[in-house]
Amino acid sequence: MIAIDADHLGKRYGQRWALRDCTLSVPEGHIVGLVGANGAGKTTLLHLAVGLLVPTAGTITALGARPGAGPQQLSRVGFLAQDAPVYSSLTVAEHLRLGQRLNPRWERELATDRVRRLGLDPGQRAGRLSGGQRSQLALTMAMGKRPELLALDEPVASLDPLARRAFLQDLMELAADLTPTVVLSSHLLSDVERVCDYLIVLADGQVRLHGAVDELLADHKILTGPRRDVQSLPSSQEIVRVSHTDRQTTVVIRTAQPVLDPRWVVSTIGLEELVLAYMSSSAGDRPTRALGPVPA
Amino acid sequence: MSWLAWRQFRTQALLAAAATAAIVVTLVLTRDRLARVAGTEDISTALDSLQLLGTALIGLPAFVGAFWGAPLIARELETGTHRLVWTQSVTRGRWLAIKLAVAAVAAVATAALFSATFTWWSVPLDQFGNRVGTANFGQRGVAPVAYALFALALGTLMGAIIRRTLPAMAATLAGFFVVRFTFQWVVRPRLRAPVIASRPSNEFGVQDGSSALNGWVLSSHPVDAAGRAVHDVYAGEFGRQMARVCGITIDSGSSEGERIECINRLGLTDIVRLHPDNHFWGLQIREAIIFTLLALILAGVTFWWIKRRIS
Repeated sequence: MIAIDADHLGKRYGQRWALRDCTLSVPEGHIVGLVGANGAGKTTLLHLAVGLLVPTAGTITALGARPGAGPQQLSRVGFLAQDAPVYSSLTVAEHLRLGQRLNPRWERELATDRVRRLGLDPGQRAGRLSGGQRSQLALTMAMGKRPELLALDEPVASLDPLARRAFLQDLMELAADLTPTVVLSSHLLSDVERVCDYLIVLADGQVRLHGAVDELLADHKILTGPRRDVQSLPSSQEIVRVSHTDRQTTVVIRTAQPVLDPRWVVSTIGLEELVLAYMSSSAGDRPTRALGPVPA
Repeated sequence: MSWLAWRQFRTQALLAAAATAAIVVTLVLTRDRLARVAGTEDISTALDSLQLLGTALIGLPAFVGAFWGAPLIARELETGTHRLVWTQSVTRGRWLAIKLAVAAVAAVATAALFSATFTWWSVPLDQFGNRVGTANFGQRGVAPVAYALFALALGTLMGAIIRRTLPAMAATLAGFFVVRFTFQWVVRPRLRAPVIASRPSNEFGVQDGSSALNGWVLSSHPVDAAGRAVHDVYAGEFGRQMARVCGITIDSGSSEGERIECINRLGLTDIVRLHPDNHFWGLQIREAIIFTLLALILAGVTFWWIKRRIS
């Protein structure tokens, strides 16, 4: 089954397209990392997937149905918004009660346990919690509804490194036990690398790359060699990014075939290099014209 | 969902209930004394100042709109909690319906109780005064309840559109009073056909007839015995009659008594268009229906707006 399926999806705010011509399909059962620079459209894509936003163009489905289509669809999708909004005048316990009242599949045990384990005082007003505690409470609410698809927008941004590690650990356990698909946006590539097995790279409101992490890593190579024109590369090798120094040329390519040219030193690519290569290349303007100015 | 709606609203509801209870008790306790002294010179300053509660009754709908309506959606948008609550298993249409319903019940209860008590309290005064006129109309009967519903819906929509609580409150107050008073001056006189009456005039043509005729005087103009309009008693045909019959001209130095006697003798009358006291409930019910319909329209726009225009 497909967790998220987007077809020429677009969202415009006034004159500006936050997301444009976005076509992708994410199979169920992955922890998906959604990465991109600030303003790349990560939040917009997540809001479209959970039904907070309505597309301007194209279509999107989550778990096979239109996002936010009704109570049934809402109950299958969990969302943790950026900055982890909670009701500041309601206590921690009242938030759990809210979760129970508003969600037919609410996991009371899981939510209460998690709150206890995190050391949150049930009688505390949410407005008095620290930033980290607030995200944990909001995350508990998103998990407690036991969604089949859980979308998290920058969930670790306000956590300290220790809490972040524990949080990601938690998330992986949850994904293994309860929730088939998790999509989380982050610009901390090390976190994405640790927990995600599927990757979506957004830049300038467009999908640059998406796929299972191990396949993507296998399909990409870094070629290093004496400075030269890259026009001569075989057509089976799709150039992602080219950079030159005075004497050397480095190319990131996507290819399923082995590289035969003996002048290139071929090395495997890491997730971080892969993401950076796609984030910095601009779509439709592949830097195949060698020796020209190369985007930084 | 109703639990959350009540939980978010309960402090405001309890405050409103306490204030309403205090007002109702005060009015009930003072009613007897008012009934004894109404229309006499003995009406005390204390009782007199209680009539100011009527002004509070005019302000109540504005309060409801600004403090209950405007934050209803705007506060959630401001704090981002709409993203929390709209991604629970409740559609945002249902979410809004229940939140609006809780606030509407509180608004109707408060306004109805306040208005009913004040209407009853004012009965002794209304025997000598005028409840159809513009000052008192909005302090009696069912109209304040409909104003409260309208203001609540207006505030809610303003909050959804403006997305910030304070500006939405300001817009609600301004919008409510503009609509409320434009309606009062432009629409209310036409809600049903006024009665046309004539009565003896004085030399100034128009006299303050609101208490004399115990109704809301919309217009009044003097005519002579032949039915011709008289703009100046000393000029034109009427002036010539005054000079011929009574020997009075503008320079003749007559006393006021002589002038009034002459004017009455010549049959100068005021033609008055007015809503008499017995139009009160008819106007009240028409006005209440219109404001309730306006409230429903605004609520409908709000539903459309939060479904299509907000993330």
